[in-house]
Amino acid sequence: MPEVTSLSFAVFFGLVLVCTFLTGRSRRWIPLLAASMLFAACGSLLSVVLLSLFSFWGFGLARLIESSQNPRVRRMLLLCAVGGAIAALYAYRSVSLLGHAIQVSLPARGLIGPESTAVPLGLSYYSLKVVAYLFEVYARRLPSERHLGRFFLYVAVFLELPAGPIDRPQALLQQLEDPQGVDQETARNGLRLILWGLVKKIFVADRLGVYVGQVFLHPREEPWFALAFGTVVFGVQLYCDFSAYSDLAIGLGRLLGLRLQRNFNAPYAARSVSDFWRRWHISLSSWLRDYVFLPLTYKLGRVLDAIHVPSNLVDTTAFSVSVFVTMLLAGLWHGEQTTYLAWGAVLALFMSVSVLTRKARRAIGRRIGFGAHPRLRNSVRILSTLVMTNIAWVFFRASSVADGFFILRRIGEGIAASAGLGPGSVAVGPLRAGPDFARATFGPGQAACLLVFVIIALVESHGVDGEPDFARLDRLPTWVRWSLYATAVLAVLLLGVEEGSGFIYAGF
Amino acid sequence: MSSSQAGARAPVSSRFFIRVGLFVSICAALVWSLGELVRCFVPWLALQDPRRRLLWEEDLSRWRIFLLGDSAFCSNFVDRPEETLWARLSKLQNEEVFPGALNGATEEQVIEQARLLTRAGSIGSRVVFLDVVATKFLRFGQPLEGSNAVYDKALARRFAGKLRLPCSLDEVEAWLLYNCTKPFFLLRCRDATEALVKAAGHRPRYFHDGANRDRVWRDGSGFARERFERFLESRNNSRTAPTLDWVLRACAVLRGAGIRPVVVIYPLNRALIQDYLGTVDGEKLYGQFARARQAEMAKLRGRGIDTVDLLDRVPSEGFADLVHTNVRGDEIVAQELHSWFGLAGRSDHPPTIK
Repeated sequence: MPEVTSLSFAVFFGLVLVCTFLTGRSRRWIPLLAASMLFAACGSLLSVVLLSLFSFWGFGLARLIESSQNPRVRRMLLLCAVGGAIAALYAYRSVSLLGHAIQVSLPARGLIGPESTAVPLGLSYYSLKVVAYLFEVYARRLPSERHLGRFFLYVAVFLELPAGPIDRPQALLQQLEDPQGVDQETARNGLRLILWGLVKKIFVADRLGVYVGQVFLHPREEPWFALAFGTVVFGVQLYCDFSAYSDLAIGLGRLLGLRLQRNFNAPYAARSVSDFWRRWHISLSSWLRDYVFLPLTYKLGRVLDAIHVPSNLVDTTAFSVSVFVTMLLAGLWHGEQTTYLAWGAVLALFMSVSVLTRKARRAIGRRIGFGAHPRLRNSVRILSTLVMTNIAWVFFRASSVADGFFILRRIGEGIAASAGLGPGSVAVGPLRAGPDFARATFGPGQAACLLVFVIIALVESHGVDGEPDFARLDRLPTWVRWSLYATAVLAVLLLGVEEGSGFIYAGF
Repeated sequence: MSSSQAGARAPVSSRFFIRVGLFVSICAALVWSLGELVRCFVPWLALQDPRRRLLWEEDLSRWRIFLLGDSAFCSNFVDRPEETLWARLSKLQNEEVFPGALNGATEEQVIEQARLLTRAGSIGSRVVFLDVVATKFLRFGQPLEGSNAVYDKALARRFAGKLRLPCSLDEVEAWLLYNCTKPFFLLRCRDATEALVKAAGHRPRYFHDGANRDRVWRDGSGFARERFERFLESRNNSRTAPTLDWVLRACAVLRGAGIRPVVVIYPLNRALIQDYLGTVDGEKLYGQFARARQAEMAKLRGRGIDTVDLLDRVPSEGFADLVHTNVRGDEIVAQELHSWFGLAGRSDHPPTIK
């Protein structure tokens, strides 16, 4: 599969653009579907087979669900359809994991190649799209799609295959049924968004990724401040990497006349962990909210009511249990590694504690007069949310849960020692003396990247739904605007990291 | 945006495409002129890392002798450029030797180094020394040196050959990158550009700086012990079977282009193993290396591949750690490689030094 930032993808996309332009609106789905299949086939033929199976499965069962009048049959069909899709996703992931384990442990190498143990392209994303479609048809919020080709395209659209977004069927199917033309402003903003995404990915994320990779390669040999700083930098890297993919997908989609769902809304400006989760990977978080969290909370509330749990406990208990289940599922969606489960559990813990202590925190705030200083209050909330999300990122990036705990412990000891509260000699320096090639170094290049990230974050937080407000750009003098574009292009071409890794979320 | 709003907006006009095209042309002109300015007025060669020369040298056709492989051939533990293995061998041979080995290169990347050489054009008979560190006989996980080094893209896009169908997507990408970046110095030599970017912060030092200095493994810094422990850790985690298939593949690539490969079994620090593991366990481990070496050497000889076996040729003072040689060690290795040329000149058979 060509990387979205690669030259071969640019050529491929150019050809797709020309084809869609030539075929006209009503038949636009044909070149798009062909391109999507070709794109998937570049990953592996298995990806095409799985995509086809998922599409037929979703298409056929949705029709059955819709046509059935018996509620019990409808429910059985839904369970069967959703269960089948989720089981296929996790069965294949388990097989991949098993295959990897065998590949590592078998003395006879070459029997199982690395390509056969990789999760097929986009499986985690399109399986959720199919499930969302089935739920919507079941709830009669959406009529089942009659056009197999368009449904196929909804599942397989190549822009969303590597790393989402997990678009909702209502939005995308509607667009495929009634395609819009591409006007000049949409095309211009699409190109701007593509450039914005390229700067984030190639200039910021990949350059910071070099430092993060060094820090987390041998975390036990790094001093506490490098671990703490490395974690913060990882949070920046992950955001710039993933949101860059979303920007690219959305920007490219606009050139094709598609409006894909936004995936981020200035998450590091969030004022609570719940708020952060609403702004981060929006297409996944809203999917989990609508199809897991809300139904589960409602169901649990009813169960707790039925067994006469005191009414003041019903809401908090239902919320806490549901949030844990949802976040563990979110972790599991990223992979079977325990680090992702730990990441989900840590976020869930923060969310639950936040709800449980809300009244107490408000009372304290009133007592110390926090309400009179809204800016200070917001800054404290943003800062504390940043600390909590970074604690969770430690587990997301660490190689094991034990490493995650080690990093947190070392950072904690380091901070305590710096504050004069603990034994400094243990926590401050590296464990082993002597120079090492692998030790992380943060250079002026990375510092410049962090500065650019601050600018990016400010622009996005003052934008529209987390997207830069390009209308402001139009108010600038032409030469300033074009100089900005040229600077961005030169930064990507000359200052980007050539050996950048692929998109992190393309691996999930 | 509703369809009625979209309808009210201006469709994409030819003027829009002209402006985009103009912008792309201006950017291309900017990158080209910036590159030419740097090439003409900036002493960029002096800022380059000699241990990454394969990634920035523009013309490989003028060399006849090459060093390929990983950190063993990178002379990381010397204080001056003239003390490097390639400088010493150049002096002994009276012709310049090209340092094409890359720190932390994986086995696949060594094969890619060989491929790159075959694409770079040729000037008659060439000799390539390919280092094989003894630890690789037992396939002990990732390389110790720069274990997060990645060269795949940089190697693939340099000197792309003709595109022959059917070809893989990676080959298409490499071909596209090579041909599209050819006119632009700053894009063509991305490694050189990266070194210039780094040099903007501070002038890089590649010798006698940080870990890159002449050192003996017993210097008391814990450096060699730390690296040996990491090696043991990777050995314990590794369960894959020993194989030197990659060497055979690299040799096949080189031979296919009429280049003569010479596999150099790099020295191993026996005294360090005995010192850190104890005499009995140390000898046991060293014995494993020696036996695996014998088996693999027989395989290589069976294929008619020239070999230079230096496993026990360097005394303990010639090592900076388990496998990497220092100034003294590099001098001995250079002498041994030089003497291979003497043998090769006198015999019709593939020479083997032992």
